[in-house]
Parts: sequence; C-alpha cells; structure tokens
Amino acid sequence: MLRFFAVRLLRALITIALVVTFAFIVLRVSGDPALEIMSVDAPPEAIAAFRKAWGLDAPLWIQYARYLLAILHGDLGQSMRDGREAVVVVAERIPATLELTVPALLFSLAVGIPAGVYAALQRNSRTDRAVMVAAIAGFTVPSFVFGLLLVLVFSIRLGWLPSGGIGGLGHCILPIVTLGVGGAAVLARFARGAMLEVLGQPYIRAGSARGLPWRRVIVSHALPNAAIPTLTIVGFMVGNLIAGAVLVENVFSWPGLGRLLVVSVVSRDLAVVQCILLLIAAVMIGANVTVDLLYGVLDPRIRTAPLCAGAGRC
Amino acid sequence: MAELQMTRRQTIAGALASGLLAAMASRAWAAQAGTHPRLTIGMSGFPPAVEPALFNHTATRRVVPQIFDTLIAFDHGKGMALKPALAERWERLDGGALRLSLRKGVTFHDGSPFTAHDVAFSFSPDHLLGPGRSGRSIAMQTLDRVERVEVVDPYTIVIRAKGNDALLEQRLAAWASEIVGKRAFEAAGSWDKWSAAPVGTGPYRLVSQNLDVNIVLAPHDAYWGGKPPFGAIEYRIIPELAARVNGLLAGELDIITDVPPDQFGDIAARPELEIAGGAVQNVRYLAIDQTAPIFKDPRLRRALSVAIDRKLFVEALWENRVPVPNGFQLSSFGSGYIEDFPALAYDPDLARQLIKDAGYKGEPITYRLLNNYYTNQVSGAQAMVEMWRTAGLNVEIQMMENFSQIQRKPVNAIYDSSSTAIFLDHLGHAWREFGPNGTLPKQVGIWSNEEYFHLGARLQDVVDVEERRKIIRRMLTIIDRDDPPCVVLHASGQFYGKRRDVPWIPGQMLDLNFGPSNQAFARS
Repeated sequence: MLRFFAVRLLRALITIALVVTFAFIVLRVSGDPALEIMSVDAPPEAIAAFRKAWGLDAPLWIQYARYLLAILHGDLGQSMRDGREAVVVVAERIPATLELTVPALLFSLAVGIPAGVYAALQRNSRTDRAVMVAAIAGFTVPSFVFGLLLVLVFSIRLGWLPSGGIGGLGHCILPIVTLGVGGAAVLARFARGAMLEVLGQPYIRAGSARGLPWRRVIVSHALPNAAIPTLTIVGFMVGNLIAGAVLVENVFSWPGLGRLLVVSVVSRDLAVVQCILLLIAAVMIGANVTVDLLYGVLDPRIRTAPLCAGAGRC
Repeated sequence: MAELQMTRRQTIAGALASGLLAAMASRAWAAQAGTHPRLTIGMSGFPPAVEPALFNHTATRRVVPQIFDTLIAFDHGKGMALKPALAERWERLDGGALRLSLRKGVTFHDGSPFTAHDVAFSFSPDHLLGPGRSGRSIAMQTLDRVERVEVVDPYTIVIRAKGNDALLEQRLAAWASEIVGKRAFEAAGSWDKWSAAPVGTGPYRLVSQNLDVNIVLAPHDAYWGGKPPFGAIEYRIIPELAARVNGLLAGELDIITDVPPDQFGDIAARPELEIAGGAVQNVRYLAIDQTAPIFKDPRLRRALSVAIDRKLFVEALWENRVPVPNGFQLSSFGSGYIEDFPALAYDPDLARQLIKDAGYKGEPITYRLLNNYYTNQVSGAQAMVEMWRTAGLNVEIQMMENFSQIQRKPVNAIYDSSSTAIFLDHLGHAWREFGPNGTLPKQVGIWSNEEYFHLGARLQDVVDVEERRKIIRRMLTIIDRDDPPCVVLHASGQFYGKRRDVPWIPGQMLDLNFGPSNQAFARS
C-alpha cells in the first residue's frame, strides 16, 4: 500500500513540475508583464524600470532557474500586480470560491444522483425521457449562457436576486444554481447509466429470484455497485472545483480564484498563476487519492486485490 | 440619414434645458436619498495602485481625481481652460518659471495642513520616480521638464522648468501632478504601505480597496471646494460588459463605464437610464512599421489613410458621436491648435494613384489585431480591410492576445493604438508617441524622422505663440503626409450608462470627477 501511494505521489509531483514549467514558458513567451501591468501607454523608461525591478530583464532560463530555486525554498513569489505574497493573494480568494463551489457540488449530488437513479428505475418511461432531456439540456447549455439567462429572469425581470457581486445569501443563489446545474446534469446521466448496467447484472436477478424485496435489492445491491463509476465522476468534479468556477465567477463578478486566475493570466502575473495551478493540482490529486480509497471501501475486491497483478507493473 | 442641424438659438436653448434638467435631477436625487446618497459605479478594471505618479491606467485615473487635487485644474465645462485649484493664482516670472500662491486652510485627509512643503515633496524625485527612485512611474511623461520647486514661504512657491516651457501651467494640471501629503507619505514608511492608503486633499478619502472587488471612498468633509455631493462612492470591479449592463438594468449600479455603441439602445430604452459621455482628449490611430520593407515608401502609408472613409466609419460604428480630427491634434489645444490644417481626406482615387506610384504589387500587409481592446476594434478593422481592398491594398488580419505580441519584433505590420493628450498641446500628445523617447521610436522602434525630432526639441523651448504654431504645423505635416508613422482614425469616445437621476456629467478626459466641481453641481 505504501508503494502504491509513493508511486502515485511521484507521478503527481512530476505532473506538477511539468504543469509549472509549461505555464512558466507559455506565460513568459506570450506576454510581457511590464507592458500589461504598467500599461502600453507608460513611458519606455518606466517599463524598463519595472522589468529590472522584477528581474524580467534577465534571460528566460535564468528567470526559470531563479523561480525554481525560490520554490524549493518555499517561496512562491510576489504578485507583480499587487506587491503582496502570491500565496496571500490566492489564499484570500479561496473562501469565496468555496462559498460557491461546495454548495454547487452538494446541489449537483442532491439533484443529479437521485434523478439519474430514478430515471434508471423508470427506464423508457416518460419520466426517464424527461430527466434525460433535462440532463442533456443542462450540460449542453454553456454555463455563462445559463447564468445570463438566470440574471435576465431573476434579477432584471423579477428583481428578486442580485445580478452579481459578493454579499449576502441572495448573491450566492444564482451562481450556485448556474454552477450546480451542469454538474447535476452530468451526474444524472452517469448515475442512470451505471444503475442500468448494474440492474442488468446476474446478482440483481439472483437477489430478486431469492425473494428479496425490490427495495432491498436496489438499496443493498444495486446502489453500492452503481456508486463506483459515479464516484469516479464525483472525484473528477471535486478536483475540478476551482477550475470549473472560472466562467461562473466572471459572469457573476464573483471575486474568487477563477476570476483571479483570468486576471492574472491576462496581466501575466506569473507567481499568482503558478500558485493557483499548484492549488488546482493539489486538489485534483487529493480528490483522486480520496476516490481511490473510497473504491476500496465500496468494493472489497479492490481493497484485497494485489497491487501489481498481471504483468507485474504498477 | 437625416442630418441634425441646430441654430445657435436652439443650441443655447438646448444647453439651458440640459442644465436645468441636470439641476432638477440633482435635487430629485438629493430629495430621494438624502443629501449624501451612495454612488455605485460598475468599472471594468481594478487599478494597479491609486497613486497618481505610479500609473496612468484608465482605472487609476477614474479614482485619483476623487482623492487628490492638482495645483491648477482643467475646466471641462469651459473648453479645458485652466482654473485655480490648490493654487489660488499664479504668474509667470519668465519663460521657464512660475510663482504660485497656494490656497490656505486646506487640509489633507489625515487632518494635516496643506503647505508648500507638500508641493515640494510631491514634485521631488522621492515621489515622482517611484519606489527607490527607480523610475518605475509614469510621472516623467508630464513632469520631465520641471527642474525644481522653490519654497518661498509656506503658501508661496516658484516652479522652475529646464529652460523655457510654454506648457508649465498645463503640466501642473496634468496627470501625475497631483499633490500628495508629505507627512502621510513619510508616516507610511514604504511605497507598498503608502499605495495601500494614499492621502490627498481631494473631495473623498480612501476607505478600502479590495483587489478585483471594489474601492470604497468616503467624503472629505473639510474639503476646500465645497461639500462632496455623495455620502459614499463604491467602484465595483466588473470586467464583463454583460455583467455591468445587467447590474445597471437591475438597478444595482448607478453608473457603468466602457459602454460600446451596440449597447446604447438597450440602456436608453429604459426610461430611468441614459447614455452619457462622448469624445475625450484621445485619438485612435493605426501605427505603421516604417522599418518594414513594404512600408519604406511613405506613399503606401499615406494610401492606407486616404483609402478610409472615416465619415462612414464613424456613422456606422459610433452613431456619429465621435469627431474626426484634422490631423494628429485636437481642437482643445488652444493656440497650439492649427485650425486650418487639412481635414483627413477620403480619396480612393488618390489612394490608387499612391499605391501605383509606390510600386505596390498586392503583397500582403499584416494587421496585428487585438480582440476589442479598444471599443469596436474588430468590427472597425474588418470595415477598414474592405475599404483597403477596394482601393487595391491586400491587408490580412492576424489576431493577437496582448500588446507584447503586437509589438514583438520584427513588427512588419500595422496595429491599433491610441494616444491621450496628457496636456493640451502637440508635446503632450503626438510628441509622446512619435518623439525620440516616444512609443513608436523608442519602445517599439518602428519609426524615426530626424526633422520631426529636431523640431520637437526646439518646440519645447519656444514660448512665442506664432513661432510655436509654425513648428507645430510642420510637425503635423510630417506625420500626416511626408513620413506618416500612423493613420489617424478618429477621436476616442468614452460612454457611460447611468441613471438619469444621478447628477453627474462626464468630462473630456478618462478621469471621472464626482466632486463638487463636476459640471452637474456647478450648474445647480
């Protein structure tokens, strides 16, 4: 088991190193933070002074070496736009993003899984078709379009809810629904598919043949088995919590990590971008590891299977 | 399309009526929400710092006038004439020196009195050159000619320029010449702490600034220019246009910035809302890489200009709300405005002739384009490409993400730019772009003209009006006809969506003014 985690961790570290290097090169080569932050209208002397102050006048490989060295010392750098530590700038946005994404995820789980399971149990009925039409609509309509539609109805027409910004509970509702509907739609389709596959398995028929009540067959045998593929999607959604908020945060002027990422990429505020990428990577890895552990909990065969079965490769 | 023609009497009647409406709106606003209502503005960007010497970002300039004052100010309601501000009066001692009498009884937001020492500090290298005197500031754009400030007594100063300077008064009204509190600056101890809580004498003081979220101001009740009209101002940062418009339509915002013409209809259709704004002291132009082989011949550069039907362009894309200047100048330039300089012509026949004379054989001309960094940029580019095609020019659009990519060498292309007249003269405008230290010759390195450079250097020392006009005329001719570094398109427009009952009239700069000197309150 220890080796299992060591291999996973090593892979994760290599992935993070590649992401960080790729982002460094792309952001540095495709834009000059001095021009973006000082403005194109600033005098050339001021732009040159900015480059010097932030070490942007050094060759790219020296900048990269300095950056890596700083990371190894636990220094993720300062925001060129704000002057503060990048970690501080990023950390202060985390609560706002969680304020949206966690309720949105819960919304997706609470709506998507029951809808998918119910649709599977009512296969080929009108209810099934209605749920699937809604699910397809839910994930084919882009979140920014859906968000603007909600604003048009509930903010502009009815005046019930604020159109954007951060504030009280009212400010959260539209962005949470916008973010949650897409996830619920995806989960409904996956839950239905997984459930249908499980319902066709011999052990379900065997359970029914033994005279077990249908409800018990579903709850004790079908749902736990259908949960495994669904859990994969949930893990992916948890890992995607931060990245997925980019569009919605921009539509609703929500000052979270997604919006910070967009602004920082545009202004080539590298330290902040890298900090967010590291955070996204950490959440992704954390979610994947948690999902792996939960597989074991849900399915004893996974828990007891040898790590390096078959060809002997892990 | 019907042309709107007004007699002088109708114009005066209209002006009186709009003044009366503004006054009524002012009173209605006050009656509705008390004498100090809160103003909420939806703004597209967050300022990198609210410090006048460090940045000239549009977002910075929208906040700075509330917090700081200059010694002399531009009167936006009177053709940008100069008017007293922190200096009650001034007089010329000679071609390069100005004595100013400072206003007494003015206090900074921290309660300290405003004196000549604050002025001396504000114009000192410790402030103007930014952190550690590194030069990481935009102040030298306007104040490079200021040599020193002499404190005569606590309320009298003499400002001396490097040589003669006909524009010294204007420099003191321009960007970066705002007066900061010396005591507060020193008490802050570092530039970071100072930038986080700057202190000025303006009508509002900074309460808080939250990165990418908002900036909140409160009135400076001891303001020397009268009681600030708003009880609080909140600039909400809303980068997405749709979100800003939605906020205005939903009644959550009082004013929104950066409204493009295609949104005018939706906003103006609401009885409680209106579009405000118009042309500002800024010119939109296309920069041309003179060093590219294809543009070596100035006739081809000129052909790009005369092939554009600017009247149609402005009608179709700007609802005729922005003017086309005659040359790289603005009519507000006072004695430096060459009013009889030829208008920018649309002459397709001349374009074809110039193209033929230049020996152009249809080689592709690259147009490096940003995705609507400027309002109407992409649709404008597409329209111009068709106009050029009609004249025989083969221009191909190449989309780019930012100015670093646009200005990457070798440029070998044309690209969009704009130029703000930071003070109202050729030296505060075209010279900033095309002078030896300007954007095109120095920063990008795509144009130079020794005669132009020489004339500009002379212009800086000339005070005589006629002599200045002669030099400016020649400089305009060089950049318009003889060796064009650019194609002038039109004056830039800045438009705002606002509630009708908010008493505020935008000025002629990118700056916003919500103080008692705004025309809406001056009228009422």
